[in-house]
Amino acid sequence: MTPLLEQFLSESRESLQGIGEKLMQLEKEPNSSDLMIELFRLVHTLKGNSGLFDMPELTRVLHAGEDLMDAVRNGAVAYSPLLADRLLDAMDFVGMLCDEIEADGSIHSRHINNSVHLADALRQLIDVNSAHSPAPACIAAEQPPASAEGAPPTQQQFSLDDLPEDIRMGAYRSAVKGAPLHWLAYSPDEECFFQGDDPFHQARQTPGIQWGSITARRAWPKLSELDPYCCILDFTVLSSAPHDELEEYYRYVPNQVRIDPLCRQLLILPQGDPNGGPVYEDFVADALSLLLSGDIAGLTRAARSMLELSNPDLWISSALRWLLLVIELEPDNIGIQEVILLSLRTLTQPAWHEFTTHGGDTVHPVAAAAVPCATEPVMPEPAAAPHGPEVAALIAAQRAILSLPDGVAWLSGRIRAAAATLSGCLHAVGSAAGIAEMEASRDAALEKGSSAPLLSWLNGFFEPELSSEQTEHTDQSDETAATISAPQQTDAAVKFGRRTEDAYSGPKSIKVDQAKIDHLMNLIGEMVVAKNALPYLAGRAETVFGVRDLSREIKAQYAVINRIAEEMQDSIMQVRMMPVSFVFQRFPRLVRDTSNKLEKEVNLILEGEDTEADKNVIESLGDPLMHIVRNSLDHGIETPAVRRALGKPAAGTIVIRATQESDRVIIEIRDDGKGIDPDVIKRKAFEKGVIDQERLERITDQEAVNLVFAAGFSTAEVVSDLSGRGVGMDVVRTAVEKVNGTINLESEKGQGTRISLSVPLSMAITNVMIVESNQQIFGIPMETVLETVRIPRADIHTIKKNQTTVLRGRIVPLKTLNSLLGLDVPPKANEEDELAVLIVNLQGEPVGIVVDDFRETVDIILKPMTGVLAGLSAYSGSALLGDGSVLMVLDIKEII
Amino acid sequence: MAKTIMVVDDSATMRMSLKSGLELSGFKVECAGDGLLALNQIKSGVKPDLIIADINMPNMGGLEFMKALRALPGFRFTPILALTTESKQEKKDEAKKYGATGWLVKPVTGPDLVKVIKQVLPGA
Amino acid sequence: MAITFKKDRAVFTDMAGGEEAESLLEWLQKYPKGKIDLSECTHMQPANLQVLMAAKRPLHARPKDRLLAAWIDTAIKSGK
Repeated sequence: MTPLLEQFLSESRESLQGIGEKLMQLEKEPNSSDLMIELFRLVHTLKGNSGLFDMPELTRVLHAGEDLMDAVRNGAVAYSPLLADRLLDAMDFVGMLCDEIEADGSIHSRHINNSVHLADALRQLIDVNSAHSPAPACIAAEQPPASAEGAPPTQQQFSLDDLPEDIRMGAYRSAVKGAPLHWLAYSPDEECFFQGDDPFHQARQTPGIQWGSITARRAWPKLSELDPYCCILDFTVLSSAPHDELEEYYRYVPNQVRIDPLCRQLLILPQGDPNGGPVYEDFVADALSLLLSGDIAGLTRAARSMLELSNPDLWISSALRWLLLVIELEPDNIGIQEVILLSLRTLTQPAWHEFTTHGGDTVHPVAAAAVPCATEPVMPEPAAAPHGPEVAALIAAQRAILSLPDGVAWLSGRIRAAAATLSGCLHAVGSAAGIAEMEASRDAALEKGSSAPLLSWLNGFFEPELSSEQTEHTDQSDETAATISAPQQTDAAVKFGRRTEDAYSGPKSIKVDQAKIDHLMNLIGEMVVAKNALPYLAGRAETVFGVRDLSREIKAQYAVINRIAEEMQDSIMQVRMMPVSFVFQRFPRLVRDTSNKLEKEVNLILEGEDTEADKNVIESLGDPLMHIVRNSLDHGIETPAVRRALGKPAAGTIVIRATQESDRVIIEIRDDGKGIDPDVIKRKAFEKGVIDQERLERITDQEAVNLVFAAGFSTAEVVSDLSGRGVGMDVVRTAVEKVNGTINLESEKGQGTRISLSVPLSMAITNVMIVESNQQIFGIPMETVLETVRIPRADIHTIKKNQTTVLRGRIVPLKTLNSLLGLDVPPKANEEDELAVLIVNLQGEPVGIVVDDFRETVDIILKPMTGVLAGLSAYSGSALLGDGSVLMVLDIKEII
Repeated sequence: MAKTIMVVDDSATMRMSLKSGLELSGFKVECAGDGLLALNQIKSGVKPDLIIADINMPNMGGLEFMKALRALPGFRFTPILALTTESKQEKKDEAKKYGATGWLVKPVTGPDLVKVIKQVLPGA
Repeated sequence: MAITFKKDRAVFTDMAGGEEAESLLEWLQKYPKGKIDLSECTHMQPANLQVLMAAKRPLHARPKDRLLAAWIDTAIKSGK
């Protein structure tokens, strides 16, 4: 794995965690724009980073998430729980992919479907919310907008005029075959030459380039005033490369390019000499009837002969060439062919904008059907046309036509055609009464030789907001507003970035690889051991070499080194400390998701999140706490209905509180649910053979509820089956005990349950008592040792083959360490025939372990058993002693 | 005519790897161990068509080097690719501010390298 | 140098670099009737192109390189 990838993964994890937290907070304050901006920034950074690697599955989801959050941030989409759900799902997916990358170095291709699915789910939210303002012509067709700040391609219809027809036809051909089509505007920075940029070269090398043009951004000054090195060139490129490839290619200048997808229909722009205006009605009528009757061959023939008769430079010839091309490439796409034919009526460029907006790629004769034809009704009944967007589109088109400059030879034809169309529209919307008025305006327009009278009638008659033209304008102004606000947001984002960067200059904390700290731990461990050799050395100096002064000096030095080593050990321990919030942070999400699933209402209260403990301890708490909280949710908290019936508040409460008590951390999980019924537990425990009849009768309720921790006690009543795994509480107990923790449960039926875990602050230093048996030494952790006693052999009784003794009036069972370890040697007694007995605490019960002798207690660094030795459960680990010998530390629970 | 590329990096391994990769692709390669050494070479007549410069170098780092280079006659428009391990856009933008044409994120692989060079160096 | 300046014409060969734009600008101001011959040109750093565009002088010879010629056509009207 490359350092970059490692960095990416670690940063991603942080971002994901941040995203989760921010979403939780948003749930509480759904209108906080600070939170939304921060959330966007996190998703955005994550997505940006993912782009550095070839991880399309990851980037796709993040990209969708980024777009969604961008829309939320801009207020285009409102925050909703559904949104949070989907985003959380997506981030879970991303987290999983990160894990996979870490484990395997790559992402398995099987995730593609999920990735697409999640991305779609996110995008759906954007689309649904912005449905009321239809996307500009093409954007919805293939790709999301090129960039957040990218304005809609409002200009492209006009710029496309510049392309020679053969280039457009070539591009159309490849687009029909499925090649993408992009319109790229590249406006290099004025200073770009001084960054070594050659934008002309860059533009020429654009992937998939079909055509390109160069224009000056503003008028050229006189040569004497020209600064040739201030770049004011704009480059426009038509490319058939995929969006990603173009983005990748222009990655050094992302702010200077805009990439917009282009619908291929927009390429169909007949051009040429209008030759006196629209005079082809006969041909259009014939051709349309051929088209609608499905006679493609006939239509082709008609178009060919018309083309032969016409001068190739005429507008009609150009339109016919397009018609023939579309017939050749897409014979079934009658809609396009029809629109081309209809354009011959007015010799205005086909209204692809409306065509694509309302009909997409589908055949859509309706738009044409509403076009009236006073002289020759070849079209289907206008009444069949819906009155909605199609009419609006037609009106918009007429408005656009009438807004064109007047100074053309065919103006009267244009006005008449528009008037005819409008008359049809009036019929269609049932406002035939307006026709006379419209015709009057038309006549006025013809008389004045200007479209203005008709146009003003049009604007007056049709409410501007009804027309799609107007909507489009609003869109544009919206977009303009968006682009105006966008830079501010970018500014904010940049400042944000700087601010975080500023923080780096005086970092309060640094990130250190865990392995390095572990290494430090090992080193200090060795240091402690090495230092412990000094007292031995001092002893030898005196006893073997008889140099008493030297011995004293060594001891003095030892005291100094010892102090430093202890402080050092302390400091390293401190480094390993981390707050419990590390495990707490997942609970808000867990509680939210689970309670939703169970249809319960739960308030989660976290307290003492700053409480710190050793990293290993903290990490080991994660799973046990999770199970406990799940149990509370599943079996503790009742449904709102039940709670109300019991007079409790509908929403249950779970409190997780961490506190520090001397060298231990106490974590308490309390709920106000239904509690545990001790009678049920007693019965179950008895049925399962966990307790016998005698115990059943004597057991207190408090003891009974703690039976849920007993091995083999797994009943449906107490086992969480939420995850389908059925984890028993004994697993929780085992996990807690593994880090030398204890667990305690108190419950009051109907009032709730309180579970408290007590774990050591640190696992690294273990205080053990050294005992001797059969000429070997063993370590026994001090936390299990209750006391050491010497018991006269006479006081040891054998009951049913089991040795026992009475200690302060209580019967204590005795085991000899030798027999526990499988050594067939009796324990040694001292001169007074007393046996050394170590009383240990075994799950609350005292047990005596008979050893040969006690030695001192020492602080050791316990190293877990590794390799084949790891299978030896009798030992919890080993440690080095000051004299270099190895001490094996017993796991008392395992050997008894 | 083969284009000359100057590689400025304090890591000998990095220089070696870039040099061999570039020479295989038909470029003439000059190397320098830091910004100062590179400037000295250029002042004494080496005329690279493109420069690949690491950002973090002793004596004179990449950003300072680019600034100094842009002030030399004949190097105002020379494409410079900044070598960086930074994934952060701000860092890349900063490099651009100092006169870099683009950036290469380490580790750089052969095909990527040539692709980027062709993109910024006409005639490569 | 990829641009050869003569009294009546500036002849581009191969690729014109950014540094040459200044001399081109000077030459164009000095010889207002000077012709531009791009026939052997394969590429020019755009500072040169800006000078040519600002000079608004018809091209005497378009580049033989068809792709380059198509680009140049969009920026400078050629004329004989």
